[in-house]
Amino acid sequence: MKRSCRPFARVAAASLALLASAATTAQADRTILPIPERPFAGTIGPTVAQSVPDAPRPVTAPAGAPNIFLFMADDVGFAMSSSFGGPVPTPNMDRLAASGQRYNRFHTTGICSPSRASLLTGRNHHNVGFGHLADLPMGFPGYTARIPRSAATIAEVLKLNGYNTAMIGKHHNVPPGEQSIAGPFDHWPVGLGFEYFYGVVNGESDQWKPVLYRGTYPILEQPKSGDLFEKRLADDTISWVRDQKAAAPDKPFFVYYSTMSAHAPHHAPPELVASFRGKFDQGWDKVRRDIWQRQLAKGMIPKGTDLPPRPEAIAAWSTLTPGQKAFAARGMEVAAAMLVYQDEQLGRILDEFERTGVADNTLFVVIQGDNGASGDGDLAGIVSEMHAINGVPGEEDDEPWMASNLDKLGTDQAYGSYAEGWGWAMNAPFRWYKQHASMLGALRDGMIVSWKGRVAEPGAICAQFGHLVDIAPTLLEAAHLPTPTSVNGVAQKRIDGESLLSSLAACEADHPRTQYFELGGEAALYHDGWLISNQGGAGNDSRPWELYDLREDFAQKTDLAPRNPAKLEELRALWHSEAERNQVFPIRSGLAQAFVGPSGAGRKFYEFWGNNSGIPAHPDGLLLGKGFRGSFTIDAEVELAGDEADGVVAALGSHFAGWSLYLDQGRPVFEYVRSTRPGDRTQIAATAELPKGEARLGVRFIKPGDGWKGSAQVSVTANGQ
Amino acid sequence: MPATFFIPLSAGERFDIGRDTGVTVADYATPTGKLDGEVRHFTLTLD
Repeated sequence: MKRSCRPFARVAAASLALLASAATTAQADRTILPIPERPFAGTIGPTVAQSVPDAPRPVTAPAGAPNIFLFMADDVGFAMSSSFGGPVPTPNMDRLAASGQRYNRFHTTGICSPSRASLLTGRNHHNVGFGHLADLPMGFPGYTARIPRSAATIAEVLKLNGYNTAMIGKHHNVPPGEQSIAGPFDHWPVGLGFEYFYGVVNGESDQWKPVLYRGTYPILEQPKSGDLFEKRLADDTISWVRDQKAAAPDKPFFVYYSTMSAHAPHHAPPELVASFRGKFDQGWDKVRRDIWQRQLAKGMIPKGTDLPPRPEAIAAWSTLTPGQKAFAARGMEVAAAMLVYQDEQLGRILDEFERTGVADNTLFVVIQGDNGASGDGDLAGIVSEMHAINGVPGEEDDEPWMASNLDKLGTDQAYGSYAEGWGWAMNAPFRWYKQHASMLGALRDGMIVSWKGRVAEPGAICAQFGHLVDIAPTLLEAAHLPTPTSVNGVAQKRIDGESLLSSLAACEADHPRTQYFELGGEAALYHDGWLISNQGGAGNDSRPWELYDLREDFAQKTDLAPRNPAKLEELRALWHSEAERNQVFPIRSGLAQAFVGPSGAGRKFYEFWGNNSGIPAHPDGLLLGKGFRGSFTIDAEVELAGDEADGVVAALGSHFAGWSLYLDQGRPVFEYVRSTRPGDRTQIAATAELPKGEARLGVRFIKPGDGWKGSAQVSVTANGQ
Repeated sequence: MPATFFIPLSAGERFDIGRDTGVTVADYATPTGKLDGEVRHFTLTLD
């Protein structure tokens, strides 16, 4: 009897050891990450029977740490969704707003990659090397386009504290030259603390046929369902969370769900586009004014908020021709449908979280845009972004062209964006749009935070200042975690944000705060209710600074600089000191220096062995270097499986712009597409067919001169003929 | 060729061998332009 009890005694001892281990983890110093491994605390005798084990225990999250669902929309202005008075019904956003709290003074950096870097790190964008887009690095600390290891992301910190972490959606924080299968992957989601990644690494993608990645590997087959990008994201999120909870029901997750709606290209299901037919025929001036009145009526903006006038550079709707109006209205119908579709996918996720009980302990943070709505779509909207980039003559005066493309908007035959005026209207009541980092139209977006049982006034609107840098500290506090001082052996930079968690219990509209903004020379500084802004000369003060009292002037309408030069000077000096402190200098002048020194630009020779190989065209000089702006030579050895063979030898780009060398019933064809406009697609085809067997194909593309514009001479050879 | 382009593709597109992934350049006879055969060796040389 006595002997039979011994195993139980040993099990009891081991259990106590495990309990002690768990307690040790719970009380660990989490400011040093990873949490150091605990020394062996059992005993070791000659045999297992004479020893007490002490098995290693995984790090566990603090008791009560919630699941976290962080949602980031793309190019959705402050006023686009119904949650903030917009014309697009977003019932699922509204559902979170009703159970949570909305913030109407929440800020971004004004453009994509910098905003996402701030969101993930809790630091200012220049402070983590993201003074501009990931595509446009410079060799200065504030512009490397590489999040440093001294700024561990919220995903890395949560992972090292016992969370499962997943990023599903758009990243746009990988610099050129690091986007192929050769890596390095330090700046991919899986290198920044996300255990799982499904999405795109670039700033945008075709939404009908996106090239998605799972982990670091591309998924090159398109699903037969033809689902749009947003649905694929929601499907994957639901699937990942189901599996995560099945595997570890008590382990919290962090899901960063980063959509691409409503970034260009604007793509949406045709039935949703049709549901908005005629809804925007009144034009952006009227729509913006209607939004402003709804916002006032519903208390989404302060009483007495004036609506700033339309900038002269943005056309009045009344000046458009009937054809331009029809085209512009359809562009907005597509964008609205895109946002509705996004909201439907969010609704599917929320329904699933409710059904499975996950929602009961999930903190939802929904940010309606990484910047304000975009004004990239010219006067009346564009069929393809590539047209503007490639110097294709403007579409806005070509009514037959617009008419012939009207029904293509939103489909896979367009790669477009809505008109500039809509971008401005979707940021009501603020001025301007995305990229104008001196203007609230670029900087302010709506945010919703919902957490069951934690919001003092569900449905309320909080006027406390907030910024993307505040999200990481907020999530850490919600998870009962300290800010780490060292992560993976690297001392950590200061955190620039402040936790907003206390605002759920008591919103503090007058909370003191200082925050700078800068992008391409446009700049601003918020300081305790004041805002100074400079529309493009911050580097050398070549343009005057303006002064606004946002406590009385919510929409940044009235420049007080002439009346209060002392305050302006005080804040201008503060902006400079903040800029110095955050690596803002040297300031880039707009996009003029965008293509300075792209990685990979010097590569001249590419070699492939076998079918189904390829590389992203983006990083290797093909896009940013001289690449296809100059002359090139192709040499291909092929083995055709039969007579009249079909298929691609090599292809670059898409039917919006690109080229392909392929076989059409045995005939070699080189097809070059400058744009989707008539006359911009050129085919050079051989007259003779190649028979089954070995063949050698060649292309010589000669581009006279150094510039990229103008004509080219092309010759195609088969077996030397 | 009457006119050339500055940037040949939208972000995310690829330089493919033996097929055309993502959004295709042309309308091919085979799905995604899958080649009836094999590209044994391919080189691209920029001037």
